[in-house]
Amino acid sequence: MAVGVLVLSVLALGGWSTERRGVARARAAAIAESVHEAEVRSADIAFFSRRTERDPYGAGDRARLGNLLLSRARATGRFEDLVAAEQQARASLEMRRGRNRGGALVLTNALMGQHRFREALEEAGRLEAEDSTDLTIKSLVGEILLELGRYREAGQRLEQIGTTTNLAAQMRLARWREVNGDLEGARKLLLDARDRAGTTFGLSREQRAWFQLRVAEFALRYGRTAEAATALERGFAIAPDDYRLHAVAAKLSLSQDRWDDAADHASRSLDAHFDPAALAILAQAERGRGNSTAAAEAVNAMVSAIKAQTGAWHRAWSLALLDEGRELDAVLAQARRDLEDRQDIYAWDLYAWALHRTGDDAGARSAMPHALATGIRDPLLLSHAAVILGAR
Amino acid sequence: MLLGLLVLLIGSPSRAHPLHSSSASLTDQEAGGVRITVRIFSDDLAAVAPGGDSARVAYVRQHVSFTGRNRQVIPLDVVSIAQDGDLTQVTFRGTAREGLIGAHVQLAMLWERYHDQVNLLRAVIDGHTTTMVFSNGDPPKELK
Repeated sequence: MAVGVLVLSVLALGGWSTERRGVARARAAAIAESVHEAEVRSADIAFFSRRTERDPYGAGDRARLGNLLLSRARATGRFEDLVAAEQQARASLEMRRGRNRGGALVLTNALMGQHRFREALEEAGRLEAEDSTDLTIKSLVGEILLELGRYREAGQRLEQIGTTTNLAAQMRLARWREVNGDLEGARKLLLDARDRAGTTFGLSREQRAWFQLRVAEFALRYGRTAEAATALERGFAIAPDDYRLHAVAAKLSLSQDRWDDAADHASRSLDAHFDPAALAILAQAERGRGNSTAAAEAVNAMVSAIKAQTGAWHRAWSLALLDEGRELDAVLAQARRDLEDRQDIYAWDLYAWALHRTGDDAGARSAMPHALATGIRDPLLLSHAAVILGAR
Repeated sequence: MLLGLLVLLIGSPSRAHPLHSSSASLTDQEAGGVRITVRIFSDDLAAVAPGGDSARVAYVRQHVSFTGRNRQVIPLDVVSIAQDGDLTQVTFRGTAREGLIGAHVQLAMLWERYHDQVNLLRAVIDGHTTTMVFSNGDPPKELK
C-alpha cells in the first residue's frame, strides 16, 4: 500500500508540477499580451499626437487621442493623462461642437475621473438633451447624479434601464441597486455583466479584468470571500499585474489575517501605481506581521503624500487617516468642504466618521442618518453607524 | 459602448498635482549577487539630471546607497537603462559577499526636489518579500 501511496503521491506531484507550469505559462502569456496592448496604445497615442500637430482642424483625431489618453489613465492610474485627455477633448469640441459625441464623452469621462462631477453633469446633460433615448448617456447622467447625491433624479434615469445588453448601463444599474440596499439585484447584474464581458468583442484585457475586479470588490464588501477570491483569480489570469486587482487581493488577505499575502499584494499594487490607500493596507499587513516599525514607516509615508496634496483628498485616504488617528482636524475640514460640493451618502459617512473621531459625537449622530438614507447596507457604513449611534 | 464604459473604469482620485513616488526592486542572485532595478518618472529624472543617459544613471547611482553587513559600500555596476512608457528604468548589479541579510539600503532619489517624495523598494531574498518605504530624510534600512 505504501508503494501505492508513493505512486499516487508522485503522480499527484507530477500533476501539480504540470499544473504549476501551466499556470506559469498562462501568466507569462497574459503578461505578454497586456504589454503588447500597452505598446499598441502608446504607438497609437504617438501616431495621433503627430496627426493633431500636423492638422490644426482635426476634431475627430483629437477626440480619438483623448480617448486613448483616458484608456492609459485607466490602466496606469496616472492623473496627468486625465488632464491631457480633457485638453484634447476641449480642443476637439472647440473645433466642432455638433455631431461630436465622441469628444463630449471623452470630456465627460475625463472630468469624472478628476471628480469634477458638476462640470461632467453639464457636458453629459448636453448629450442627453440631444438624444434622451441613448442608454449609455442616460445611465451616465444617472451615475453622475448618484455621485452628486441627487438620488431622485438619478433614479428617474436608472430605473428606466431594465433589461439591457448595454454593459455600461448594466453596471450603473447594479450600483444603483446596491446604493438602495438591493444586494441580490446588484449581484445578479454584476455577475451577468462580468460573464458577458468575457465574450464581448472589442474589450481589452484590462477592461475584461475590470469586470472581475468589480465582482471581487462587491463580494468582499459583503463578506462573500470565496466569490471574491474566484473573481480575483480570474482577473489575474487576464491581467496579472493589474494594480487594482492587487489592491483588492491585499484587502481580501487582510480580512483573512493572511498578513504575508496582504503585504505582498499591497507591495505589487504600489509597484505599479503609487496610492496612499495601498500604503495604509501595507501598514495593516506589517502590523499583523508584528513589524510595527515598518507599519509606522508606511503610515508616515502615507500621511506625507496626502498632506502634500493641495486639492481635495480622496475619501479612501481620509478614512485611512481617520483610522490611523492622523490629521483628524484636517480630514474633518476636508469632509466639510466635500459635503458642500456633493451630498452623497459617502460624503455624509465620511463627515459623520470624522466628527466622531474628533470627539463631536452629537454632530456625528445627527449626520450619520443621512449616510444611510437610501437604505444602503454597506457594512463599512453600518459599522460606523453602530459605533456612532452607540457612543454616548 | 466602449467609450461609455470608460467612465466606469476610471477610479483616479481627485488631486491637484501628482503624487511623487518611485519604485524599485531588489532580488538576490547566486553567490551573494544582487540586482537592483529603479523605476522613476522620466520627466522628474530629466529635471534633476539633464544631459542624457549617462547623467541619469549617475544621478540614480548617487542616490541609491547600498552597504554590506560590515558597513562597507557595495559597488553597483550599471546593467541597463531603458524607457518604459513614462518611466526610466535603471538596473544595477552588485555582490554582497557576506550575504544580503543585514545589509543596508537607502533610496534617496528626488528628495531634494519634492519634500513628499516616497521611494518604495520591494526586496525578494530567499523567496521572502519585504517592502521598504523611504520617506524624505529616512536613514538607510536593514534588509531582513
